[in-house]
Amino acid sequence: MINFKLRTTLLYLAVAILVIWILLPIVWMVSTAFKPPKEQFTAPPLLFPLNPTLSNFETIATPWFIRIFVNSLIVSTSTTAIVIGMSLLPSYSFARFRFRLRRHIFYTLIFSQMFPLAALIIPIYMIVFTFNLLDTYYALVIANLTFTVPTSVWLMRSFILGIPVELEEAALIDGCSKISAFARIVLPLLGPGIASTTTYIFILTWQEFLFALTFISLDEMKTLTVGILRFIGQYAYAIDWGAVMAASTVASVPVFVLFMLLQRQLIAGLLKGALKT
Amino acid sequence: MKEITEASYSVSRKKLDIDVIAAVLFLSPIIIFLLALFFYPLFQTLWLSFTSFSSFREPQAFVGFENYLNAFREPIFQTVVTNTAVLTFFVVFVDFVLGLGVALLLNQKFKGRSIVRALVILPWAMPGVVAGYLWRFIFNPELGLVNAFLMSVRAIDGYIAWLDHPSTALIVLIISYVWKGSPFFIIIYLAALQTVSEEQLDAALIDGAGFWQKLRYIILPHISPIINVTVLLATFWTFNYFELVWVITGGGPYDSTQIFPTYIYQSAFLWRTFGRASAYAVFDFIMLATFGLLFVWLRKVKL
Repeated sequence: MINFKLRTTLLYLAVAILVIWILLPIVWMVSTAFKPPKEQFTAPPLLFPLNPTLSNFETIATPWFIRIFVNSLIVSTSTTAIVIGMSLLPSYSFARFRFRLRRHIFYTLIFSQMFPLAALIIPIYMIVFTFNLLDTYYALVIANLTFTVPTSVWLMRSFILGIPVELEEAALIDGCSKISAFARIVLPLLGPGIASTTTYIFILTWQEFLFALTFISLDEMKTLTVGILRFIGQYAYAIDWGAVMAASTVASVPVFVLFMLLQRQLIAGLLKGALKT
Repeated sequence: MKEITEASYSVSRKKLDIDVIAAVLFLSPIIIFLLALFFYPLFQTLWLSFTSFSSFREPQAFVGFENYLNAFREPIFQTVVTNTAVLTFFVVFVDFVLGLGVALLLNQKFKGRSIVRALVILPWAMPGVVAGYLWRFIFNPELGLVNAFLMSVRAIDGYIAWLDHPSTALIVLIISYVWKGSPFFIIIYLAALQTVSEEQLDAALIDGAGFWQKLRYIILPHISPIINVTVLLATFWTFNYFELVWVITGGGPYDSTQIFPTYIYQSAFLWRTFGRASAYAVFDFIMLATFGLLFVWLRKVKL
């Protein structure tokens, strides 16, 4: 009995340490965002603001900040839509057709995801430069494809593998073409798979930083991740941490919400992907 | 059912042709993607690494292996290789141990388990830049939580400037990488643990197996395919992760925490030495590809 109690205590202690390790930085971010300037500089620092204020959010809520938030939304949404659209038929093809080179193409795709973006960024910059696409959404959407397409095909293929093939075979015997078998049978069953792949791709592109940093120099075309740099300013000692943390909070909220809504499906999907490679 | 499968997939010659055409058509987006955004950039980087390309207005002069030879002579090259390797090794190791440990913990029954499971992944969903600023703030000498805590328990007398010393800066980076990256592995391992058969575990319990024996003889063998894939992914992601170093240390102090991605970016887009940056990129690529292939071969990873 004592042993059991000890075990339970240790269990809850470990969980408490875990929660502190994960959450303390996030709580600190949100609480700093709500602190008035005076409370930013107290020693020791206050974990929670004594007089919560929205003043940091007022500081950052400029038309420009709204613009870069919208930019992020546009880039992430269009990347996600294009990637999903682009990877549906190839994923189906990888999952269902047997043809020579299938494995080779699939492996190349998976390995392409593992190659350093840093090794690809200079040529992609040259493409973007040549087509005069610097400082446009197109540049970011095209560049984002490099790391999202392989992941998307990988996940989607594993979802399709999870759909019993017999359903399509019955349709094929009834004279259905491959493409209509896909559209009428696979696509409706693929809903959860598409939802979790969408979430995953959106979270990835929302975080994207390197391409946005390289391809965008006009202030009004920046995305959130790069825009936050502005609050840091030029001098490290003059950082307005309240504003930085408010902007950080705003940048994190959409992905937190999206993730909370779809986490169950997303995790199931990721596991399928990892198992059925 | 087997006959039907064959009928619809391979027996009829005519059917087969249609299949091949459909397959090629269906795959065309991927083939275009691979050619334009993978093979082309790859060969272009390789070519650039043999040139002195530094401006779009001047022709690219072929310089042979000069960029590589210069790199081998520079002390910074060694720093970059060492940092990237050390950072990746420690982060992947801790990601794995912590990921599995926490997954085992969250697989126990306790109150509030589903909430904790959902919260655990938040750092992974948070943008890397944000995580970077957060950790930079936490390790800020005067305003940060870490120094405040250490002062309050009297572990230190004065503020430590964590990011001003190469070794402590590297530790801060490892901590931030693990915080950001491990949740993904926790969740994957947790999901994998749920596929371990209860009956087998019960049988082991009856046979008198303790926790470590169950872990070693039942759990680890069962989830080892997942471990292989995740360790491989973690290595690639950590090796190429740009934001955290860029935001937290900027590669400093005095370039002591530069890693491949940050140094390549700097050489290319701040100093405009594209040829030199490409040589570093090729080296980065070779290091990672060698590791990847060795790992897949030695651990017999099925991709």
